[in-house]
Amino acid sequence: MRWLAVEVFKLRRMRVTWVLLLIMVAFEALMIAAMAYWVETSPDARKIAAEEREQAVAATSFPGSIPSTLSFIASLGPLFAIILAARLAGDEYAWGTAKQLVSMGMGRQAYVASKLAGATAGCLFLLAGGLLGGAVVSLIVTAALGRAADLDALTLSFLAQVAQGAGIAWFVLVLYSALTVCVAGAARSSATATAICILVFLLEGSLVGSLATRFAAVAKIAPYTIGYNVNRLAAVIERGGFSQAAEATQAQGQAAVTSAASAAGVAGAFVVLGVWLAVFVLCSFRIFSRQELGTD
Amino acid sequence: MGVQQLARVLGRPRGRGRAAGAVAIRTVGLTRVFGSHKAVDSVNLEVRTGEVFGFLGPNGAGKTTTINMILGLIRPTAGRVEILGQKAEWASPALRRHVGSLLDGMRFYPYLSGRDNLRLFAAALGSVPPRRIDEVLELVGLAARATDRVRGYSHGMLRRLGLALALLRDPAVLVLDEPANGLDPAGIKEMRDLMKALAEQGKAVFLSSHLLHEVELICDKVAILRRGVVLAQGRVDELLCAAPALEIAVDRPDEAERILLLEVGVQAGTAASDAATRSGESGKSSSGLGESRLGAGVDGTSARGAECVGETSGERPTPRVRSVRREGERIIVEYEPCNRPGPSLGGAAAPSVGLHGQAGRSGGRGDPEGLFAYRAVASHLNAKLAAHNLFAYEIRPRRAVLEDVFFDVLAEGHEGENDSARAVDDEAGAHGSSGRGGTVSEGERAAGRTRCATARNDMKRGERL
Repeated sequence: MRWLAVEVFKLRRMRVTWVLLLIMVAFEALMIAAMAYWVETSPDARKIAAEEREQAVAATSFPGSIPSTLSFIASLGPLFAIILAARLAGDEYAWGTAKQLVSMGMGRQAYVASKLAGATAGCLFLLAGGLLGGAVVSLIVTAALGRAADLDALTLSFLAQVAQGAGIAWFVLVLYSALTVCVAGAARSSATATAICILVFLLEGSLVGSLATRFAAVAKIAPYTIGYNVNRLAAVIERGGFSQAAEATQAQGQAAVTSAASAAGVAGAFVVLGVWLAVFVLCSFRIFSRQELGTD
Repeated sequence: MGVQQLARVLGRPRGRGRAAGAVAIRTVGLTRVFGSHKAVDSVNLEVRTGEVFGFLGPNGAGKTTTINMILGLIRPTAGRVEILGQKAEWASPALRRHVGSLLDGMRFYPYLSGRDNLRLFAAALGSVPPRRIDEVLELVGLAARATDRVRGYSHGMLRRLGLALALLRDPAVLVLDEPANGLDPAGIKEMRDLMKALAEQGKAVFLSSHLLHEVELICDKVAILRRGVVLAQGRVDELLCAAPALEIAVDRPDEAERILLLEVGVQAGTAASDAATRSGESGKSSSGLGESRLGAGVDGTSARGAECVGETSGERPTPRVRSVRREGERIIVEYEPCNRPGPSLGGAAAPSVGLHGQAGRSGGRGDPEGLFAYRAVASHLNAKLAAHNLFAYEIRPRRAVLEDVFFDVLAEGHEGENDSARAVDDEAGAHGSSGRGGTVSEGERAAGRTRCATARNDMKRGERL
């Protein structure tokens, strides 16, 4: 807990934390505002079915915007989590603080644990801040469009759905943060770690996806990649939680969605990503426990 | 801040139950190889509580690598480190909790203030009472700037903060990598006082430096490292207390040696006037010697066993010459300090040697007797040589063991450069050498050139140490 408190103290005092949060909320605001504008003004929006339009309006109003905000955080939030984790873990090498702590008796395992705990706390901070920011933006948009906030929608089942979505989004952010801590330890640099992890985030899923269509061998490993499984979980959030997603798949009978959101599929995604998370955590410990710190 | 104040701030004498003088750090055969390069080669050191140990060497000698191995930051290729009597595995934190370290290049968390940085380290390391942070900030003179962000700190302020951090947990052992780097003169003085006060408190202070002068002033013991190998190690006073001597570079050294052996002491009691007169007449000597007014000459009937003259008559005595000998093209004249030893380094009774012979060949550091003695002998010998039309183009204090090895190390480090003399001269200048006690030479650069030309041979002697 002591180390976690130290890392949280750093997170609070780092300017980049607040800048990232601000950018993330700005993106959310842009997304919500753009959709609201489209629903209100676009001729195309008037052509769609009333039910769908209603759903679109709900998604831009409070509290219906929360699932889309969570989906956004799970989809694009890793970018912010990567930058934050890289700064948290990688800059310590450049500043000499990592070796100073170790030289004065802080255990290497404890140091890595504190970094991972700090990155996890950073993800929670981004998630909470993003959610709060999204809610505020949607309230403003709701008010600006002359709508009333549908507080009746804040039912227990809705809150459970939000909690599930938040848990999934946090898990995804933590996964990429752990990857970043691991890479930052290996590279001893926040800039290198940021670059590598963002490339992994942006390219891994799409690269494997495109190669899978051409090569059978790649198609076989695709279900074990990070991006593939993160997309599965993001779909669960969009579908409104595990139960609703399952109902939706049964009702619609869509094979792709079934694959993405069935209970087995979701569990499989969690297992695969859990294994990746364990790998990153173990690698972080292993790298730092053997790392020589004198040559930074 | 005076030593008394420092002692008060530092609190009770430490030692943590150990008797003063216990081994705090020991390295046994410590070796580190990077690829095919042996950065540190079988280094054996022993640092005891209550002493300041200087680790001296030019850049790239392996000081920081050794320190990093002691601190568990890098893994030794061979050998072991013991801290407080127990073997310290390279990445084990247990014993390093008793160590406070100041690492080179430490920049802290730039977005935090000095105080917040210490708070953060205190929280991460544990067992630091909150009031300790203000104590150490006060101790290093950063209390007034404690709330400023570290981003705006100068290099010297960062070193002070690093020192505060090293002291944060009141450790039994301090390992400081170049602690004086970036400090202004006042800061260096404070740092010296602090090191001494810490040692008096029973702590073991291990510091690295490339400044011989600093090490001489602060340390009780010293080890000199060159290319990863310890060339010399021992108490500073032992290494410095070679018999005071001077070197003469002269035309026709054979003849000069013969003349000196014959004539040194023959004209006892007349050296002062002779020297002043003849050096003035010859016009070949530097002015430094001519200004020295001696009360008596070098006494004795031979080169050995000369007596001081003038001690009972109230005149300033001239040291007696112990020996005259040749070393290559130079003549070495050893002399004695006329029973007026000044305060010596480390409390030893033996006379000590100023770094560049500027003061204290015989009289101890800062004692002008040493300078007077040197001048008296130099002036007298110069007069003797001039009387026989022998031109002494350089007379300078002979370096003691510590200087000798260190200058050789420096010279070798710069031997690849075209003007290696500049390195020695720069080193001398960096130490504030305000004259080398009356060098009768054409200039410092020429002297440096000569020294560097013989550096390789001297190194062999250094290695035998």
